[in-house]
This record gives sequence, C-alpha cells and structure tokens, in this order.
Amino acid sequence: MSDLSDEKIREEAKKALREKGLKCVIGWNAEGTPTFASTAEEIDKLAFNKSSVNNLVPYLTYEIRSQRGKTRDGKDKVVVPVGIVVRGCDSKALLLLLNEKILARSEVFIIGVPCTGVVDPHAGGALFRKCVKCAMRNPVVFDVLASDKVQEDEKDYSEVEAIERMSQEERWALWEEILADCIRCHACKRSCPVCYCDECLLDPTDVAVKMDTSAEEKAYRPRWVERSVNVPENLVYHLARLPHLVGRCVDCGECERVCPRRLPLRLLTAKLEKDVKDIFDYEAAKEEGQKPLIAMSCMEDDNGFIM
Amino acid sequence: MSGSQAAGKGAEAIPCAEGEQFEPKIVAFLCNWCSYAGADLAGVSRLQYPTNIRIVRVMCSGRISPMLVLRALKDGADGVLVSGCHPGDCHYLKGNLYTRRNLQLLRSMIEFMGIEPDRFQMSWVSASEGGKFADVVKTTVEKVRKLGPNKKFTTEKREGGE
Repeated sequence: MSDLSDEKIREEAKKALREKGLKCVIGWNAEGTPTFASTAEEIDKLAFNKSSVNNLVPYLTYEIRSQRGKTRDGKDKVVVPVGIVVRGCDSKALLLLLNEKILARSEVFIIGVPCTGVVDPHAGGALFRKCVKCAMRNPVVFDVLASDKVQEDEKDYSEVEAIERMSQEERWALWEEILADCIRCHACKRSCPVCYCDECLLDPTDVAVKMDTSAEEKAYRPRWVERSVNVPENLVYHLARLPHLVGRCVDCGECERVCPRRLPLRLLTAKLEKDVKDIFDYEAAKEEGQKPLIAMSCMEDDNGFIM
Repeated sequence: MSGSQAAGKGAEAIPCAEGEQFEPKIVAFLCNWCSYAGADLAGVSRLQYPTNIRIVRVMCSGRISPMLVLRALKDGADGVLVSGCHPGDCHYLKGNLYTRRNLQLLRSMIEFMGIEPDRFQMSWVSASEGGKFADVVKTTVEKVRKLGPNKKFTTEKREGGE
C-alpha cells in the first residue's frame, strides 16, 4: 500500500534471507510483476501496491516441490525454505496447502500484507470485482505482517443468488453463452493455487486410440474430456473442475483473473462455496489443522434428494 | 417390451420421429452388495420395470466419482441413476456417505448451470428391496421421459440428428 509497508516487506525479507537462509523471496515488483528475489539488491525491488494482482502461491508450491526428492542413500533431500509475500486471499490458499500437508510450515517464510483490493487492468482503474466486497483482506497465516490490519466486509453472494432465482431456461441460456465463449486454454486450472496435481485428468492425453490399442492402454489413459472445443465439452470441463474444489476453493479469484476470455468463472466457485457453507456448514481454510470436507463422512447428512 | 407397459399414465410423451413415445437411455450405477442384488431380486421375483436402464455394476457406490456421471451424460445417456446401500449398511462402512456428499454438490452445481437436476437420480436400495428397485427405475424413467432427450451435453443431438 504505502511506502511504509514496502519498507517493512524489504526489511523483513532481508532479515529472513540472512537469518533463515531462504532460497528466495517471492513477491511483486512495483509494476506488479511476480519477482523471485534472492539477493538484497533484488529484494529492494519488492513492493506491494494496487497492481500486485497475481496470487503467488502456485510459484511457491513449485519452488518447494521441485526441491523434494531422495538422495542417493535414500534420505529425503533437504528443502531450502522459501519466502513469500501474501495478501489475505493468497494466505487462505497457502493455509489450505499447509493443512493438506503439501507444504510444511517450516519450509515457508510468510510475509503477510493486509490488502484493500487490487486494480483490474482491464477495467480502467477499477478494483477487481472480487475485491470490492472482500471478507479476507487480512492474512490468516503469516510470520510477520507488513502493515496494520484492515476492516473486512461480509461475504457477498448476491451475484450467485441472482442466478439462483432465475428460471432453469434463463440459467442455461446464460451458461450456454459463457461456455460457447470458452476456448479451453486450461488457464483457470493451471493458475489455481489449490490444483497442484502433477498429472490431471483434464489434461488432453496424447495417446491416439487406434485399432490395436489394448483395453489396458485405454484404461490407463482415459480421456474424460475430448479435445474439441464446443459447449458440451466445455460444460463437462468446467463441471469436472468443481468436484475437485469442493471444500477447498478459497475464492481467491485467480481463475477469473487469468481467463483470456474474461468469463465470470468465480460464479461457479462462489456457488460451490455457498453450497458447502449452507449444506455442510464448512468453510475452506478456516483454521489450522482443519480436516478436508470430502474426507469426512457423516451419517446425518441431508438425505432429501435420494429416493 | 415391458417398457411400453410401464410408461404409466402421468408421463407426457415427447413426440419422436413418427409420433412415437421418447424412450430415454438411462445408465444405472449399482453397488455390488445391495442395489445390484436388489435388481437381481426384482428380476427373480418377476417384477416388471422399464427396459430403458443399462446397469453398470460397481463394487461400492463410493466408487462413483462425479466424472463417471458427467461422462455418461456426455456420451449420450439421457439420465443417470446411482444406487447404493442404505446409510450405515455399506459393505465398506462409509463408501455411500462419501458419495452422498460429492454427488449432492454435483447435483446442485448441475442445477445452477441450467441443467435439469432430475437427469441425475440417486437412491438407496438394499438387497431385499426388489420392489423398491422396480419403483425407483419406474420413477427415474418417467422423470427423464418428461425432460426429453439430453441435448445440452451432446453435440450430435444439439445439431438436430439423433
């Protein structure tokens, strides 16, 4: 925000680099470009302002997981810790990864920055829609905070509720138009901080199914979604993304931000989040050590839709 | 076959090629321990139910991932039925409970995107409930028959052909 918090980010980053022996600190520079700073000079370029739009957590996951592995004598390789600057929404994603034990708390050094919203470069200086009313402005997990905490808003589901009130035909007309616009570049999936699988069932497989392709080969590489880009395939692609985000999506809005067609993808994840809250009274990344929703089973769940 | 008999009264026929009644294709995923045995009992007891149903036996309803449901719909099924043991009776203790959580949200998301949620049905049928299985199939077929062909998920049907 102010120069003061930039100073604080740089000061803490330098201190941690020196004392904790960080590999690098991931942050934004003044133009908002993601930056990997591993020296004091590079750290002086770190900043946080209205153009710090990227969620940096996917970079962190990559930086740490690429260090994992076994040494020749079968021991785990030592992971050099990595520092990161996170906003409130990023910190939620990071907390989820920590809860899922994808990252260990000792492997990350977190500089939290309370955030009052970042600017959508395509909206002529206006804030991102997700930032206008935001319920997670303050980081939930951090080692140091770069500035004072800010006031948070109530979670706003008014857009989702507006669609819920539509008739079924209106809803389909809306989504058909959106899906017809999708070019299936998979950017929403690649940029998602909680989608970290190396191999994804939505990746197009390059196994050509020929006359002599055995059943076994086909079974190893099922093609759940065809490569062709049309409404039904796009529909299945977007519907297939969602079950993987149940109780995990933290609504950071990266999918919507990176979409080259500017599709309102956050409507889907917001609806999912709302359902999870309404039906199961569960919220993703609410506290440390939280169990995943799908890994908990409950006899008392709603049975109403079942014959 | 018995399909025409069981079509029942309330079902409004969607006119097909020559004024014939629309016969939906329904993929049913039945768990090995309860619902498949229930379907078997329905057969052994000579209960009549519509023939629109194609049964896939799985070891547990916990195996049904939302992908299987979506893939069935995309590959031309007009409806999908998932059936497992009653809660608490699962052979693997909790499989059906996990599935219930997953598929409840899938159903809600399908509805949100403007697809008829009735295309996806779920039921609990135990091994002794042959009669219930026949009823479940009848209800499912009638509901899907009312909805007509599944056009939103398939390219061919969208472009006019069958």
